[in-house]
Amino acid sequence: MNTIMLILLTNCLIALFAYRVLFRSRYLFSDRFGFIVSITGGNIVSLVMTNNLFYLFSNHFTVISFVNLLIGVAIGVTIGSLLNSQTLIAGIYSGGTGAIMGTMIGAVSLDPSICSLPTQIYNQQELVLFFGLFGLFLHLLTTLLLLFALKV
Amino acid sequence: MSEWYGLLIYMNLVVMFLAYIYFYKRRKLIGFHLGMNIAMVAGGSLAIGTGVILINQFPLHFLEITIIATLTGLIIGSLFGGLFDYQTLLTGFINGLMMGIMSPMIGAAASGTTFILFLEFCIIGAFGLLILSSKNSS
Repeated sequence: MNTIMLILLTNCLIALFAYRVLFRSRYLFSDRFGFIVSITGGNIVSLVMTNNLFYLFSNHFTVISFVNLLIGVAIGVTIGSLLNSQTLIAGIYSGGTGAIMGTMIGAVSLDPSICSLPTQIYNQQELVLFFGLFGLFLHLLTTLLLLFALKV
Repeated sequence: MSEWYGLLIYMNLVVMFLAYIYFYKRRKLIGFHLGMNIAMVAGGSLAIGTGVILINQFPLHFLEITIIATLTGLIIGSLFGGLFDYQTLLTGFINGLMMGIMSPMIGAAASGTTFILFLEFCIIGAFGLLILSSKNSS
């Protein structure tokens, strides 16, 4: 579980760095670019962070699935409140969607017999490590593409 | 029927290629609002089709199919979005990523020939509606 903690910390640092760069140049945004920033950022950040949080606290299922939804909505509100109230609504929606999907990925990869997948092929540690590292790679790729949009 | 599932992926790719050629010819006539819808529908539907068909064909390779479906949605969403604008590319990218990372779980939960045929009908119908709406709007 130390590796998952490290991956979660790296995700938080990447998200804080991207939010700082976006917050500095928020007066340059058009209406459409604010919408797209809130959709992209809310989806990917809440997906990756709730996935790792589910791995860390997987013993308390109902509590963590409720807290995950609240965390996703809070991330969406934080990113979406950069511009105006339309981007706030888009941020709430995309953050909640990403949080529900991250909880689902975590539940399936901890117990593959939910989706009637065969359980004996992969051990649990391999699946957890794969989804953590794959999420980290996708988060890095999306952040690079999103910050490159400020230059174009 | 289960040995013909690979043919359906081939049919999806051929329909995608024909629609890409059609949209490439008239990309100057399409506004950014329709472009955003085109990128989201194309990336998401092809990612869902690829993930569901592949997890029914090879049910023992879960990790590889997740990687393949995510990369398919990501690349096709950015390909269709890249016709118009950089922000359209970002929209297609994130929608294809979310649908592709979700699709092997849907395919493992709901399997069967009827479900896959219904999904194919929906995908081809979505592409037909996109071509029809681009013909009407411009």
